[in-house]
Amino acid sequence: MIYKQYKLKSRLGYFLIVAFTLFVTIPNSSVSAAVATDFKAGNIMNDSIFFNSSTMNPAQIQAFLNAKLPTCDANGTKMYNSTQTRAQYGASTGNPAPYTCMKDYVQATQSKPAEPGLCSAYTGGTKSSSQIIHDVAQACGVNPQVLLVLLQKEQSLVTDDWPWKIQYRSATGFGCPDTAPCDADYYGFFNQVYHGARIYKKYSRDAAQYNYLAGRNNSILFNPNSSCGSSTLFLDNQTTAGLYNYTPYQPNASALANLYGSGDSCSAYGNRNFWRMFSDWFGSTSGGVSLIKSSSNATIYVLYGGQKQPLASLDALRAWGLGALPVTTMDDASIALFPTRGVLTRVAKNPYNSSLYFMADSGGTYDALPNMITNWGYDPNSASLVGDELIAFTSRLGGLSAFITAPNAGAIYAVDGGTLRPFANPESLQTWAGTSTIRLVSTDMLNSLSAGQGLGTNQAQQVGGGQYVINNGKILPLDADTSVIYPRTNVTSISSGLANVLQSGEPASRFVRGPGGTIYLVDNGRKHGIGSLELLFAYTPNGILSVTHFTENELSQIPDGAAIGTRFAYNISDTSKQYYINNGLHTTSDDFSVPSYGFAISPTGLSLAGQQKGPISCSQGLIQAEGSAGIFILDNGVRRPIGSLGILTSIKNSAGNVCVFKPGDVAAIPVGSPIGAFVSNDGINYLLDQNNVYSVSSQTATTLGLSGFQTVSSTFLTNYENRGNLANSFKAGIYYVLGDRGGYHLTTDAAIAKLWGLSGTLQTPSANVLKFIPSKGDLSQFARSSDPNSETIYLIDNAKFLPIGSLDHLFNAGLSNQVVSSYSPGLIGENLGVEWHGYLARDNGTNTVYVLQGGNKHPVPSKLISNWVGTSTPADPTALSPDFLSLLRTGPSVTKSIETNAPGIFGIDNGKKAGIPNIKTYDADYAPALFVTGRLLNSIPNGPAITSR
Amino acid sequence: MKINKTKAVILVLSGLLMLGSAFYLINFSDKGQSISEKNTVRGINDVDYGPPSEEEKDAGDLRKPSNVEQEKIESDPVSGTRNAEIVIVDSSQYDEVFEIRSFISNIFEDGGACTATFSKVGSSPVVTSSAGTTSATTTQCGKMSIPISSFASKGEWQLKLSYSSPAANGETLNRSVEIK
Repeated sequence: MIYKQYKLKSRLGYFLIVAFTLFVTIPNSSVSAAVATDFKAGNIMNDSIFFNSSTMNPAQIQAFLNAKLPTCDANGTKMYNSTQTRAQYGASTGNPAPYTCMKDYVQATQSKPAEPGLCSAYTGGTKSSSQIIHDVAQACGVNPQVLLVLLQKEQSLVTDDWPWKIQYRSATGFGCPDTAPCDADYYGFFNQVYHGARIYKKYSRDAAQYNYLAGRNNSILFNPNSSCGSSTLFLDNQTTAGLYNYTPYQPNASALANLYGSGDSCSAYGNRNFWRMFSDWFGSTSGGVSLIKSSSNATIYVLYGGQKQPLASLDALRAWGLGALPVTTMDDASIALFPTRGVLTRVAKNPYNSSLYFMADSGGTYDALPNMITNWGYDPNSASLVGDELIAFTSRLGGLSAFITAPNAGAIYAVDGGTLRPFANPESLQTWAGTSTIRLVSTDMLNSLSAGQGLGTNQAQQVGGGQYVINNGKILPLDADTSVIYPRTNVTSISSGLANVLQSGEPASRFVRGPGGTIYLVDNGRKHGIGSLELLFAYTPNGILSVTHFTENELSQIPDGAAIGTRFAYNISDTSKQYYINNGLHTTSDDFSVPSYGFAISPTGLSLAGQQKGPISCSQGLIQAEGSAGIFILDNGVRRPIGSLGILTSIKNSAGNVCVFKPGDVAAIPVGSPIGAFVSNDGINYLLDQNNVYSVSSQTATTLGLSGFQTVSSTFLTNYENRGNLANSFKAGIYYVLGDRGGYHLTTDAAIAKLWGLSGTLQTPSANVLKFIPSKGDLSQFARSSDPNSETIYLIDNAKFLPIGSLDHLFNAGLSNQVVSSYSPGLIGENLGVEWHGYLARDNGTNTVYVLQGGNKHPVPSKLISNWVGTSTPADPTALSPDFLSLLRTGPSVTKSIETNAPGIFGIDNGKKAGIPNIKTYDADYAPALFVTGRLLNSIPNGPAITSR
Repeated sequence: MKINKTKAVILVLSGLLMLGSAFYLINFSDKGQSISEKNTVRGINDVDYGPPSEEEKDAGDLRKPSNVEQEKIESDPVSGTRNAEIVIVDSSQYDEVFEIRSFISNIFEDGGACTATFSKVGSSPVVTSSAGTTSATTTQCGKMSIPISSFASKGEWQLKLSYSSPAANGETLNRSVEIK
């Protein structure tokens, strides 16, 4: 054995221990010489080895140097070549003897201040090479073995038995670029060792500033000659990245094929030699593992990387897969020689890159994130710090999962805060696990978790935390609003552990869909299918839409609600709040009666539909479908077709508007019976007239012939101003209208209207109303009955029908070419006046008496009253209104005699006529005669003959 | 008897030869490994305190020519500005960023400037720079990360990297790179 050469008694125990541990160390790391196949270009050395500064003390380093250089050729007496000794050759090149070997080298060193993240303070002094190597290693936290290899790799100083000064001056090659002078600032053995160690720490502290990075792919050349090519390597750790930063080439296949020799012209050897030398002198660069315990204590330690780590429990021993290793018992002193790491638990952490691992019972290592560790019921902050060689000893099992099963377990489980929760069916598994890996773990590992209830619906809440929906392995947060509208009556409680390891998804939207094409609005705990894309966007504030895609099973966990077919919606908690939803909320007037047909939406759903916008108000509730000619009027939740433009005109306020909606929105409103101008409500009939409404008594309805009253709501009528009861007569526009047994008569002539009593304050509906009332002809000055059996003609005055006794009288009253309209016998009967005298009339305003004939009225002078009216049997001149009389032309006053076209002159005496016998009599008593119509002449009764003069 | 003595001598010599051959085969047939390490079971931090291998013994002699060469370089320094040997470690696109990592193999200094120039006919050139800093034995150009959005068009561009300092200048030949 090699240790026989080591004579120092005080160190014998240590080396016996080392030798003993070699015996129990597992075989996979116990090769004696480097084998090229063990070289991993992406993982040249583990961090825990490279940065382990406590592997050798100064005496051990010195012993190592002594062993590797038993004899120093200080005077250069050995032959360098066939003709020169080393001293001769050295002298010829400016490097004369004597020479100082490194094992004997001593140097005065200056102190160095501490630099955060690089090296702690170094205390200077005159020191041996071994002391310098040790102290620099301690100050900079680098394995002194690494520095020994570096010195050998760069200048062969460990084994060179006649080193020149230049080899100490540039011992680690620091500051020496290719084919150029070295930088004098870094000359000297100590400087070289110090900066050689320091730069590796700088590569670690300032990793992002350098060319090669750990934990990612790096393109690395084979040779300074770039034509030799490169390959991409994933660098496992910082040490490997640092080695490439120091020496930026990787060995090619030729270099590795001849591990102790040369390759080809494209070979580079720096990193190969570093690995090979370290492997040869100090063992594996990836580590090995064994178990030891003290003879006086039951604690079992894992020994690796020159340090021991106590096992927390047998559970940890199993978890790390170390149960099969033999445990070597040592005395306390021997155990104490190994530095102690922290207690090894089931959860481990690499201190160099903070990677977390969770140990399986089989000795496998699951990569894990802190949240996953927590979910398994362990504290990631209590993770044991371990060297990566221990990790490398285990089987790498991939990432730790929250979804597991075990051989013969018969179920798949979710791990929820250290509890096992079985899945009831594949659909549930799909929901919670999605594409997550389902790990097959050992039965022991499965059984280490406590049994819990199965995972239920995908509607989840974290205990003491947030609300969620689970969607194909993702956890979708519900905010304060969506947590109200999603169904929350059957919610699966989960721990924060599981909530934190599920893949985060976008917040759940109120719009959802499944594998099918239908998109639903979630509201009030139900899902409501949306009929069209237009409708979908209408319910979206500002047109910004996000839709959460669920699986069919997940979607089915939201109960079905009524489909949405309209933008009209109402607050399900307060039906008086009604809206037209179109990228915001438009309030609607009461006549929309939205609850009859609209979508019942929750208050929260309304708040999510957008901001309040302007109200929608349509005059009298008139609506129309976009692109369609039909107009409807809203009434108590139905839309009533308006049959004609006339009806529309009659009921539409000319200043109002018709609201135009999407066809679907109009179609969603139920259709009622068509509507006209006549409506009724609560037993009262009404006439609609633009924005007015008149109540119509049964008598008026009969008189005017109004029928077909459609029952409407009281709400409907609120759109109209009530103008009171409709009279039988009124003025519609320019028309004076008089109702008459199922119709009306009209005139635009105010004078005629006055005869019929249509003057003063009249109701003034619009002329449109006449479109819906049967017409019975014009109002006239003279009238007759519609009864064909009645031949009487009447003179109309003061709203009375004054019968006219004969045709002569009719013409005396002024009939010429006027229309004689027919009126109902009832109207006539109700308003029948006295018979018209026939030719005499008294102005009932002035008492003036007129003789009427042929459209003229002839005043009767007071002195002739006795002549025309009579005294013994006076006639009663019919009292006529000035209105009627004003329709007649005023002719000359009557005289005492009249004449016609026919021969003869008649004197008028005592209300009668008699022929004047001769001219003398005429001239003496009757001249002049008034020329009159024969009809007047005929009308005047005959009196006694006039006595001749 | 003479024959028997002769035979005995032959047998003894043969035995010695076989023992010598076995000793040689065991100890000297593999120059690549130290004698003491050969087939020795060793583990972690298992320091080899054995003597140097033949190769390790020879290492000092083999080192000397390169040291002579180095002394020659240093005794006859190049006057004026030196030519910078630029080595491009990687020039590739990673997602939406084009990265250039490089170093100057024959210069060890701080304060120089590395400049990358992308050119393409019909497009405006893309230029970016980084500072040169010392690594262990080289001058490293700071990593250059150019957003792909900086390039007017996708496709093949020509990349040239240059280095400039008071002590050295140099540039690479154009190399084609693909902007995707």
